[in-house]
Order: sequence, then structure tokens, then C-alpha cells
Amino acid sequence: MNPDDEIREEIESHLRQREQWLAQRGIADARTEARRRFGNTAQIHEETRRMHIPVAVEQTLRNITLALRSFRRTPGFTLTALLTIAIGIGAGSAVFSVVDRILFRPLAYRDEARLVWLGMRAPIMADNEFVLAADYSAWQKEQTVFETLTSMQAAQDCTLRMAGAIKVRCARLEWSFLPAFGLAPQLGPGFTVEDDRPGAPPTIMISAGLWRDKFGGRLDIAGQSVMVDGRDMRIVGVLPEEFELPNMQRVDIVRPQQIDWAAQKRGTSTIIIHAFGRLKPGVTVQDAQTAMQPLFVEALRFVPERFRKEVTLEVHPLRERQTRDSQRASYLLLGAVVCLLLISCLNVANLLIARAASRQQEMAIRRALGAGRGTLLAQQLTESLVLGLGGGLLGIGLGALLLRAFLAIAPAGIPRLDQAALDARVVGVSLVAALLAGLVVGLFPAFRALRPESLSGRRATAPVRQTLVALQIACSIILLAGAGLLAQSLYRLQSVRLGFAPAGLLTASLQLDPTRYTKPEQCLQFYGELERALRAIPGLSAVTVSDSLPPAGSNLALIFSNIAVEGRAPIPEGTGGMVTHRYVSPGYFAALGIPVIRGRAFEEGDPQSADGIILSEALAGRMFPGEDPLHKRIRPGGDQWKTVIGIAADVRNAGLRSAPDPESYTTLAARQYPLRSAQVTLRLPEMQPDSVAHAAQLVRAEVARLDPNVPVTLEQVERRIDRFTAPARFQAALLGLFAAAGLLLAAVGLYGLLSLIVTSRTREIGVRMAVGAGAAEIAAMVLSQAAKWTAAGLALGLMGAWAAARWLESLLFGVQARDAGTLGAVALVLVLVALLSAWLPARRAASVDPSVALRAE
Amino acid sequence: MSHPTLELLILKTLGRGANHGFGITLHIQEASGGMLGVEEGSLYPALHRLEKNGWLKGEWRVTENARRARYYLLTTAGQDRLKEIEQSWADLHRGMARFLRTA
Repeated sequence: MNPDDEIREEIESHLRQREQWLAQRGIADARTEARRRFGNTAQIHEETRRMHIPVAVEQTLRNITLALRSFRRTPGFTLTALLTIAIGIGAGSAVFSVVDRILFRPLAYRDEARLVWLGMRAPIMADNEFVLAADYSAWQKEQTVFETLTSMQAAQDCTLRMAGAIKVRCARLEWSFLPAFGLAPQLGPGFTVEDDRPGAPPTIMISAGLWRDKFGGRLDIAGQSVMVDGRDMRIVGVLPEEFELPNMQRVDIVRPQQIDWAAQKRGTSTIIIHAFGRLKPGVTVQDAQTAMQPLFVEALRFVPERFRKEVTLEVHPLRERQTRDSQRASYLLLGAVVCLLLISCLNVANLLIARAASRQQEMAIRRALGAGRGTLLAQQLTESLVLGLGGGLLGIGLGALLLRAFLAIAPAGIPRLDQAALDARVVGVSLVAALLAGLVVGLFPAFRALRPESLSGRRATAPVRQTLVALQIACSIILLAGAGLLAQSLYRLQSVRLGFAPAGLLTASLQLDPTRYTKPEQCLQFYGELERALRAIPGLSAVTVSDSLPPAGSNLALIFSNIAVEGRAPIPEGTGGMVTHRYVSPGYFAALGIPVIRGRAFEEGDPQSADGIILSEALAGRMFPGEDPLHKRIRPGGDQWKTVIGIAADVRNAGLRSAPDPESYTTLAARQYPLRSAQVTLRLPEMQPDSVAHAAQLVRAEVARLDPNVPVTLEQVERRIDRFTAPARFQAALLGLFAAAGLLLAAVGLYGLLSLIVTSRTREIGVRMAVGAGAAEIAAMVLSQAAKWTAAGLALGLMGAWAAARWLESLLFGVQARDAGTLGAVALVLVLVALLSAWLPARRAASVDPSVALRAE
Repeated sequence: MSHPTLELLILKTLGRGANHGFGITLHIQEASGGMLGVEEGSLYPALHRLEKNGWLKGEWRVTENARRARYYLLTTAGQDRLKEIEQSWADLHRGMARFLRTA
């Protein structure tokens, strides 16, 4: 029986016995009388029930009640402390939910620690380790360190035809891919060895997202056929919910690789794949690197000898490899948040010390009356824990708002950002952090309050509080310095000279169906007609078609030393780096506003243009130092010689941060393979939302008129460039926000401290004034107090910022991490804020009336 | 009535044999000649506390009037406790009496 029922029945039994007893003695209305004699049943039930609560719990409940009561008595303190903690925890939980997926949380693969990405790194594909399919099949047979070795080909655009044509991302996986990662399709059988044989009937698996959005999450999806890139393909599975490619590309559809390994070995074709391995238990990454070395050396034999030095074997744990680019930024944000949390903890600690000081006599009296050390300690700790918990809960609410704001301004390319959420794990960590903060912050004043001399009623010795304020100032300097540096590099990044004029440009990416556009001429004809049709529309000017647009590189990169120059011996060793090559329609330079410095641009219907090549200034300077490049003949690849007809100004083509790569241009007509994905770019007279929407509609209509099955994605070129500055903007905004919050808290801390000092010294100030000190002198006295500790904090903070600079370096652009100007400006801002927060208490001190002050206390 | 007194009354009553809450009330009122009036309900928190301390043991039984009631009996620890507080009560009583005589 549960205690409540038992107590209820026991009371009931008592009442009935009494009723009967009374009735037997002839008392009228025995029932009411029995109740009267018993007393308040509800209250007695409650009191009896309480006897069953364990002592510790009861103690705690009582402490909590006491704490809440004392908070109610001091609403100002409570609100300040709660908000301070909430700011720290709120920022912390929002940032943690973003970086957790990058730094800490296990990947969505089984036993991820044993997964590695292995392959060769060469300048031609510097960002992604790769293996040639021919080498991979040898590795597959001869390797000894992996439980399984599996592979994939990177995702590319492809077209899914349902009601209309949709551009989706397709990747190819070896049949063993999912099992190697410890995954299985959530629906359907998945790929078999047979599916992966060359020439097998085409099968696909679709992502969970595509399944829900385009197939209504139908359970009978396996076995159905859909049209992908013009071919009917059978769906054999739905990928797991959180599936992502190990190179973190988005993917909607995966197909088996169906590589003809024998043909690869013969060298009749060359496919580039990415290889992933699951290490055997007990094998380290280093072991794998060593064990794979002979196979790598074997593979190198097929690399032209002069390039070999620039090719390396890379074996990295998957997570490390995946988050390589975002780790720095993640740690930076985490560091910033820890700084902010520290500031808020210091602030609350200071508040608690002040509170403890004002309650010292209360505590001393209670001790004298026999309250145990432990009881008082437990009670004070309960207070700060309740504070921590309350602030933590408030902070998690704030964190949810902040996270939403982060996601709104976050750039593409932060890994797994779409999964960032305040889930149980983040909430748990945040609450633990809040409670820990409460505990640490509470311990110190709690112990101080218990010191024996407390009874004398002496005030807490000041320097502790001053030190805490100085530390707050130091932390906010570090935050401010970081924010300042990031803001500066954002500014520099945004004012980088692009080399072309993006304002007014609108671009459409097109995707032609590979089954119907099999020949280069078909593509050319399509683009030609589209260009003519768009040019004929009044208001649109400068239409051009190209395979890609700056500031990104193109899909084609040439090896510098492979470009033959007529009448000159090839470079004996090394690649000489990479050259970006773009295929463009003749109007390209005019449309993008890229100046042609020498020679001329391509011209429509000009046979010389078709055989001509235009070099960027950087490439021309490198290829023909001290010579006139015009009319020289070079062979960029294949067997066609091209004549240099012009030199174009350099354009940022490797992102905004790096200096331009050398670049060359030929016409679309010079391309030997069909160009199925292209950019159509045009200039609008004005960039109003209406005119953009109108132009977009026109472009869509023209494309649809030529071929209704071509997916079109439109974008303003300026927006596209914004994407390159987005990470910097995100980092600067976040750090700026934290720095502002930190500064505010530090200012509040300083203000609170000085106010307290002024109040506690009112009498002394009165005496000083009575013996002739002027108001200015008194104000100066208070300000000098502030100055002393601000200066200490400033010095400490600048040292901290100096030390932290190393961490920032790789995120900065165009500004040194130890930029004296920035540090100086930060120091100035802080001194101003400190002055401001010291001003009010100083003025109050100066306006003390000596006759009142002397009578005080 | 304060804790130690009520505690002594309960333990002493149960020293005569198991009884339920109502029975204990009756006994205290009768044995004290009606001088020690207890608000009847206040007995129960005390009973449960004593049980929690291991001095009493409660069990449901049927009364002579064929009602279900919770009976309490003294445990061994309860008997020791009774001796202990009877002793201290007697000491206090003697002390007080002496004080009143001499003062």
C-alpha cells in the first residue's frame, strides 16, 4: 500500500472508532464531533506524510525553501545574478549545440574511431585525397590492415525527372560502402555485389529527405522505377535518416559504381575515386600509413616521374579529416564562450560575496546560536545551486533564441549545422555547466562567511573582489580583441579587389540531360540559341555563357608544366602548380567587366577566336617573362595548339582569401566534351527585387521554351560572392555579440564594486571632506581605485590576447593577429567603458554631505 | 504537546501491549484522568516518526469491533528507548522537585 493511502485509511479508521464510541455514549451528531476532536485531517495527513521523507531530502527541501525566500527578499540581486548566469549559459548552449556536432558528438557511423580516409594528395586535387580506380583494385587485394576497404565517387549534379525536372546530387558508392560504415538502408535491400557489376541494370538508393519530400515517404518505394539523367532506374533502398557522405557532401541519390576494374587496369579509362577503410581492431592510423606505403609507391609508378615529389599518401581518422576546416573556428567560438561564461561566473561570485558580506552578522549570530558549520554551508551552497539552476534554465531558453539567430546568419559549409539543436544532450551539458558554475561560485563566499572572525562584523577584505573585477576586465579584453580582429578581417575581405564587377549581374546555372545532349555541338547550339534569345529581350544586356564563374575556380585545372609552349622544352621537374581554365562565350569579358589589357577579347563568328586563347596577366607573366605573349602558340592539353590573342586582368578565382591563380580562357566551341552544366550570366540595368524577379522569370521562360527539362537555379552574383565572406561575417558577428555581452557584464561588475566601496566609505569620505578635501579630490580618489584595478585587468587581458593570437591567426585575413592598432583600440574602448561605469559612483562620493555622512552608522 | 512528552506517553502506552491510534488516545486520556488532553490527530505524525526511527512496528489488524485498524507494537529498540526517556523524565522530575524545595 502506498503511504498516502495507508495514512488516509488509518485516519479514517480512527474517525470511525471515535464516532462509534461517541454514539454509544449518546452524543448527537457523533460524526461531526469525532472530526472536531481529531483536528484538521488534511494538515495532519500532510504532517504524517512528511515523516516518511528521508532526512537528507527534507533538509534539502527546507534549504531550497529558505533560499527561495531569501531571494524573494532581494529581488535586485536575484534578477542580476539570474540574468548574468543566463547570458553565459545561453551563449554557451547555443554555441555548444553548433560545435558539438563538429568536435565531440560521435558520427552517424558505427565505431567511427576505426574509420579512416586514405588516398593520395596531389596539387591537381589538393582538397580531396583520391585513388585511381586501377590502383584501388590492387590496394583492395593486397592491403592487410583494414577489415574492409570501400570507395565512392564524389557527388555531382544530376537530373531527376518526376512531374518536372529537378536538379539533385548523385554520388556513386561501392556495394560494400554502407556495411563498411556499419549502416544499413532503412528500407529495402540496398545494393548487392551484382548491382555493382558493370552493365548491371541501374539501381539507386535515395536519401531519407528525398524519400519524404518527393515520394511522400511511401513504404512501397523499393522496387519502383524513376527517371534519373534520362534513364529508368530501380529504387532498391532508402538511406538511413542521418546519412551523409564521408566527405560531407549533400547527396540525394546514390548509385553503384559499376566500375569495370579490368578496363581500369588496362588504362583504357581512368576513374578517380575516394577510398575509406575500417581499421582492424588494434591497428593504429600510423600502422596503416606504414603498411600502405609499399602499395602507394607502386601506385606512384603510374604518376609521371616529374610530378612524383608533389604526391603524398594521406591516411587520416575520418572525423579529423572531415572537420579539418571548421575545427579552428569551432574552438575559437568555444573559447569565446568559455571566456563569456567565466566573466558571468566572476560577476556572480562578486555579487555573492557582496551579499555574504551583508549577511555576515546574520550568519555569525546563527552560528553562535548553535547552527552547525555544515548546516550553514549546505544552506549557502543550496542558494548558489538554486541560482545556478534558475539561471541555467533561463539561459537554455535564451540559448534556443540565440541558436535560431545563429542558424539564420550562419554560412553554408559549417558541417552538420542543419542538425544543430538544443536536444537533451546540449540541455544536459548546459545544466551541468550551470550547476557547476553555481557550486564553484558559491563555495568561495560560503567558506569566507564561516571564518571565525566573522562575529566581529568586519567586512570582507576588498582585494578579492577587486581581483575578480580585474579578471573580468581581462576576459573581456580578450573577447574584444578577437572580435576586433575578426571584424577587421571581414572588412578587408569585403573590400578585396575582385577584378570583375559583380553589381547588377544575375546568373542562372543550367543542367542539360546527359542522355539527350551527347555531343558538344548540341550543347553549343542550345547555349547559342539561349544567348541570342536573351539578348533580344530589351533591358537585358551583356549576356554570356561560361562553364563557371569567379571568384570560384573552374571545373578544369591544368598542370602548368603540362602546357606546352611552341619552340620551348618542357619544364623538367615538378608541376609548377595549377592553372584554372575556363570555357567562355565571347561576351564573357565585357559582361563581367574584366578588362582585356592587351590584344583583344573573343569575338562572335571569328575563326581566330575559336583557335585563340586568352591568358590572365599572372599566367602571361609567368609563361612569357620579358617577352610579348601575343601571337605565341601554346598547347594547354590535348593536341590542339592555341594562339594567344589577348591578356585579361587578373580575377580572384580561388576564393577571396588567396591571391589569384593563373588563369586561361578559350571559347565554348573549343571544348572537346559536351558542356552540360553551365552558367548563363547577364547584366540588369538595376538590381531592384522586382526587376530581378522579372528577369528571372524571363530566363526561366526562355530556357523552358528551348527545353522544358532543364532545371534552372538563379542567383545574384553579389549574393554568390557574399557566400565567400559569410564564414568571416558569422565569426565576427558571434564574437562581437559575445564581446559586447562580456563588456556589459564587466562594466556592471566594476560599477557594482565601486558603488559598494563608496557606500562603505561614506563615513571616511565625510571625514575627509570635513577636514577640507574638495569634491574633485574625492572623485579622483574613487576613480583612482577604479583605474588601479582596470589597469591590472587591462595588462592581464592584453597579455591574454597576445597569447590567444596564435589561435586566431589562421582565421584572419589582411590583418596581423597581434595588430597593435586593434589592441590599442580595444584598450581604449575598455578604458572608456570603465570610466563610464566608475563615473556614477565617483559623482555620488563627491556629493556626499559631510554632516550627514558623519552621523551615518 | 511537545515531542518528548508525547513520545513518552506513546511508548509507555504501548509498553502495555500493541494498540491502535484511537486506543492510544483513549488510554492517555483515561490514564491521566483527562488531564493530558491531546488533539487526537497530532498523534499520527508522532507515531509515524517513531516507527521510522525503528522504535515501533505498525501492522494492520482487525479490532474487537471487527474494524480494520493499524496496530503499533514496541520493538526491542523501542523498549530501550522507553527505559531511557522514563529515566531522564524521572531525573528531571526529581531535579525539579528538589529545586522547588530548596529555592
